[in-house]
Amino acid sequence: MRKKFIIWLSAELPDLVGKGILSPEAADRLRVYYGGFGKEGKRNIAASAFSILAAILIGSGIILLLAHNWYDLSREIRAVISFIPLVIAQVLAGWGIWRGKDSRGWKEGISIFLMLAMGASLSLISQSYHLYDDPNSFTLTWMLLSIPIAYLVGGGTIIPLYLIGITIWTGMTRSFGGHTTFFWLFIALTLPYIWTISRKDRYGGGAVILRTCFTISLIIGTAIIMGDALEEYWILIFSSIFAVTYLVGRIWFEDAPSRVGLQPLRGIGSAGLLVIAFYATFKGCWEGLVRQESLSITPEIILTLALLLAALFLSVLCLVRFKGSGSLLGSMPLLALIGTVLVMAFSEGALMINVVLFTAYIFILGLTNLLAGIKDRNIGLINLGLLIICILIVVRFFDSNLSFTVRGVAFIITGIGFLLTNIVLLKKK
Amino acid sequence: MKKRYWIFGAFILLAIAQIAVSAIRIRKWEDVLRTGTRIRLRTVPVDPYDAFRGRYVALNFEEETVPLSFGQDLKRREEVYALFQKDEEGFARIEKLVKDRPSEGIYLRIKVYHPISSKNQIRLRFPFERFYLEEEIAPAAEKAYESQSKDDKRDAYVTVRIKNGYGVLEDLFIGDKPIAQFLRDEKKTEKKKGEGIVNPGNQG
Repeated sequence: MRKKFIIWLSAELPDLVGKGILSPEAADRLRVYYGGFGKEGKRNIAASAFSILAAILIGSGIILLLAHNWYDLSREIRAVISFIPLVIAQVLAGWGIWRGKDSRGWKEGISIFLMLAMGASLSLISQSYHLYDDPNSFTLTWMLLSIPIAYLVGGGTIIPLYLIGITIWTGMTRSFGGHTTFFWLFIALTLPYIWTISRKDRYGGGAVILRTCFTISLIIGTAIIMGDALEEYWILIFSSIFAVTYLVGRIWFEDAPSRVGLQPLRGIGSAGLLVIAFYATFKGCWEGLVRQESLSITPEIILTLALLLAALFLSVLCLVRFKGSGSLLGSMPLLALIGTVLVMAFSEGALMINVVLFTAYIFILGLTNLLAGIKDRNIGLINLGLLIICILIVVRFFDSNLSFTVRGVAFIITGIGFLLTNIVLLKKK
Repeated sequence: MKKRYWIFGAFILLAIAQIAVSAIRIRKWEDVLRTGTRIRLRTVPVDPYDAFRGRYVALNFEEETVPLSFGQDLKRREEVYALFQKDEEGFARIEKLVKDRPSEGIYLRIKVYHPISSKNQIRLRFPFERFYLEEEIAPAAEKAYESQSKDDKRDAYVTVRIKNGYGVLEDLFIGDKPIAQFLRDEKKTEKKKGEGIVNPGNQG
């Protein structure tokens, strides 16, 4: 709570000084009093950043040196060498835990170093024995032996590296063959850490970065897993995934300070939803579904339905709690479901309906944002609403699937609509 | 205070696990290399421009393509066992593919890369596709090759040790010379020509 207040205050201070409410000296005294964003805080951040960089550089340097693949070294010597950096890192990390070293910089630095030393050891072995089929098991072994470091040694920087690692593993497993679904289990291993950090300091830099990485990794991993199984239903799947992401951010992180990218879930979710919505206004986007034969019940279908239900449930929750704000965007999966069912039922005939449906949806989305912005005098919302409508206009203007006359008439009618609204608004004043 | 001991204890376990995993891997492959059966596998003739990519030689094997009749019902990415037999020249040839681990014979666990019914072939993927080389050697080798004509493909093969379905590359031979010696000899002839390999460059 205190930290949040400090973040808020640090943003307000320049403004207060500018308006003459506080003198610059008073502002400085406040800065010193609340410490968190003063020189001390800066020094801590610098120390962490430098030790992270140092560890990454030294660790990767060792990996590079080993990658040289010294031809004259016997396999026995290689075996010994593969343990040296690992043992050094382990001894240092163990010593730190034993002595109770609590500095952020130390924890982050030694954690990364240990993780990289583990990777160096495994990769030297792969190289010595020419194991190529190995990258899969190599990556996974490395990641699973590294994730406990985050919990035991305490370096949070392990988490994003681990997330990248298991996401790559999922991609490789898909092309090499294997059970990609384990990805969900592996990503869940980071949750206790992210949960603890988030409880300690909900909107601290660390927690926000970790949640962002987690969300991105989860979406990419899920895309890889589901991509094979349900190619044609991707609009449904991804609108559900992004809607859930968006709504979780909207509902459980609604108290986030509104600026400075502290709302990763909302940002990623809404960006994803908008991109899909725009893409869904093209006929070609739905054509894959026409060829689709009947559905059989597979785990992927069940999961998709579960995601869809979750998105709809959260939309309703959002509707109840925030009086509608956000639930229009969040309920896009419903529209995707309608579109999918329409195409499956009426095949070619429904393609045009979907185009109109999603165009109207985006238009209404832009318009509601615009109106809400005008009502609350929120420039950000006004701009967002205008941007959405403008992109829609541009996209439709160049859409060669529609005849010139249809586009022309639709544009003029919409324009007249805006003009009339404006006249009505002006008269009301 | 007590919590810290628990964490330290858990960390010791992690450290042991980390070392053990590396040690077990070394032991496993070292055992295959020392006690496994040695076979010779012919590689697809080395194309000088394709073989050396940076720090390893990309290997393709003749035996990675077998007739479709070896396994009509095999699927992409399926794991099978390849049973080998020696031909008259002493090179290993795949005799058949089986789905269950054979009880005897020289066999290797491999993956089906792609059954191609149009060509009546199955493409397999051996677990060793790269022969790693020292950083400076690979580009030097590439240069040495470049001085030869492009069509001058050379016969090459590898020796592999096989045990319990696992296989480890032992050495790569080009024209009956181990790769290291082949490269050394190439270098010498280059020098004799008075050209020498000045700078291997920074490829890779």
